[in-house]
Amino acid sequence: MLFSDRKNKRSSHLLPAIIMLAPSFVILIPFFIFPLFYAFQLSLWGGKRNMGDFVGLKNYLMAFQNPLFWQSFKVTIYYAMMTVPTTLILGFIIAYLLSKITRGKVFFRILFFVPYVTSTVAVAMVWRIFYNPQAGLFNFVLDYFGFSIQRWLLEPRGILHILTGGIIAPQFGPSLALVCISLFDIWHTFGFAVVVFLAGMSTIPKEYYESAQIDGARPLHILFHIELPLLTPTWLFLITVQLIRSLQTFSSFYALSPAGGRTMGTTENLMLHIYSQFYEYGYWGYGSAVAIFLSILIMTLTFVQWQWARRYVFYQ
Amino acid sequence: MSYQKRIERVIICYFLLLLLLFSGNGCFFSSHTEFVPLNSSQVVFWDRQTAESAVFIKTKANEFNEQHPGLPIKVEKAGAYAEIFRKVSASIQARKLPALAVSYESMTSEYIPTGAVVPIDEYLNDTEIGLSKEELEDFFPAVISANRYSDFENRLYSFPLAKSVLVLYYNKDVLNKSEISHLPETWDEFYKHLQIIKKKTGKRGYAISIDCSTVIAMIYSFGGEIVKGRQTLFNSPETIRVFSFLQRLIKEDLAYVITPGTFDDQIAFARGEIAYMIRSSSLRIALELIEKEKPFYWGIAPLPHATNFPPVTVLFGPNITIFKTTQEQQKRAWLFVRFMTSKENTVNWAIETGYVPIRKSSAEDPKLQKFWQEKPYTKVPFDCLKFARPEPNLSGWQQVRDMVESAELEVLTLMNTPDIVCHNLKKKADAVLNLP
Repeated sequence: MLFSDRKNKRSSHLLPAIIMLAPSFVILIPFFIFPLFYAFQLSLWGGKRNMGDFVGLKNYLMAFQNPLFWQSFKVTIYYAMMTVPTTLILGFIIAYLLSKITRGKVFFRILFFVPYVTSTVAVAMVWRIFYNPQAGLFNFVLDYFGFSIQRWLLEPRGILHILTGGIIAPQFGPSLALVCISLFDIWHTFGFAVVVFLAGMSTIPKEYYESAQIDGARPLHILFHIELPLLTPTWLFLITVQLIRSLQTFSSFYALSPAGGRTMGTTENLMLHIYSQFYEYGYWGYGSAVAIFLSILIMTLTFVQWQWARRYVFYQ
Repeated sequence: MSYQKRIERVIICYFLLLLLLFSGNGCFFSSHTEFVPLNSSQVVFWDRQTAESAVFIKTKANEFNEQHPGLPIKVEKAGAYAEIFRKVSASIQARKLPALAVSYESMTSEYIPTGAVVPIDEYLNDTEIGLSKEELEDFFPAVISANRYSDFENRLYSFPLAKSVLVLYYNKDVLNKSEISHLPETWDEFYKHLQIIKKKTGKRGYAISIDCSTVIAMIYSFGGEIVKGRQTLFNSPETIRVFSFLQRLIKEDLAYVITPGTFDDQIAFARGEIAYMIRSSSLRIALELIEKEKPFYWGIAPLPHATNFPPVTVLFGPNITIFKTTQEQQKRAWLFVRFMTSKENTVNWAIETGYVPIRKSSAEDPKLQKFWQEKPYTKVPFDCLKFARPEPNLSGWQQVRDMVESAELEVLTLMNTPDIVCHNLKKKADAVLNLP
């Protein structure tokens, strides 16, 4: 009798649940689930600009044997390693400083957020001018202070090679061109981190600060023992979002990478690799296989992050 | 089993079912349907021309529609070549095509295997609407041969429309300041000129634009070839000489590289910061526009060549591809192509845009002769047509072009020696051209 009641209760919840979930499925099915399975289907076929023959997992094997795939994978990892921590730490520092000032807070918040809401391609065009080796702002500054000028976006040599004066091999580490794209992206996205951190800080109850002050805690103690622990959900959210974004970045790479060759592949991340293989060269199956690999990579990393977060994230 | 577990199982089964469905034999694709026209009441022509060229094509399309009653030609600007390539590729998949589109040989060779392209030979040889033997021989051989595809039974799958050649632009002001009185005919002279310019003005005289066609033209000019069958010859001594020559210019600070995809060399050229620029002859219109704003003295010369080798250059410019739509649309499309490439229209095309006339008889046209007298440098590209050669048009060449540009950057940034770069380039390019 009791079991039957529960069953009836669950059944009565099912219809409202379906109704409430329906709008999200209207978006998810055509724009996410269908393309995902469509890409999976394409990845099992081997035609050029058409389906071609069924090849099973051959496209995946081809990707793993292709040096260009590994090169773009390396570029993606370098890029994520450079942009995610820098964006978050910079965003946190600025948000922390902004939370302490009493005047001009709104102005600075807008100032830092403006790059994020500006079109990536439009601002990338401006940065391209800054990076111009002949007439760019950065070389003008370097030249003014007596440093040797750089090729910036055209430089395939590693940043470590340049900084160490040639001690480290030029192929080692991210290229200067990739560092240039990363710098642009840090500038372009850190405003988002600032705003989210500020929002997170505003949710910390004032009583905690007051108690800490009564107990004689100094600002650094408050930062490390109150603010940082209570901001761990915000950190988790931002790390997840920024990591996914960094693995999927396309616009800034596309807009800043020189056409053709892409600085000898040192600025071709996985997204650009998929784009060039799929759209430019017509390897639909291969491009889809790499896209599926990237999706699995993102899902795995997100899953690992959430598992890790269970131990360290503190919810009020 | 709990309710939640059961729901989870249903969801997993649902996704597995979807996976099975999608991994099946093209259940969501119909690959056997016929191609249909994008617009059944108009003959759609996807073009990329801008400014004067776009106006010219639209005017000519209107003229054609008035003179040839029937389905009207509708010119649509479909973006740059790369965009047109993507749009046509997507249209092929959708089986809904424009009747015509501009395309480079490397683009057409990608469309052909899909069965979407109409071989032009059948119209060309038609007794009623085709071209006579005399008319066909009036075209420069290179402009026709560029549209015959050796990978596809040497058939004519596209027809020349707007042609240009690679030429050397020179800034007279810079040459005068450097006390250089003649133009370089060979690469050795070109190199010496750059040394003089550096010595006299302290400037690097040449801005290198990373470009596959320029590399290919240079290989030709050193007496080299690009492909033999489906094997590239990028490891040939001539290719190594080209890359060594370019690397030497950088090492000796006689030239510099501009950001690919920009026209920084054009700006530097107009400002008198460089003496030489190697670009398509169609760029002259842009220089004439700059000249109107700020007068400067410049000219066009044939591309230098290696000592003891004849002059040569590479043929640029798009062709027209006719797509499978309906018999009526295809016929109208061909008639429009024939109309656009008539002697009269090629002459007007050359005068009003930066392109060169593709018919030999154009040279006798009084209008064109008058134009050449007024602007003598505009005749240089036409004269170059005699020795112009097309790039290979093999399937997969589009990808090889990017590899050549990447190799050029590798040489110009001194990452590797030309020898290593050339050998690696050959290996990679051959792998692409010989994919199963």
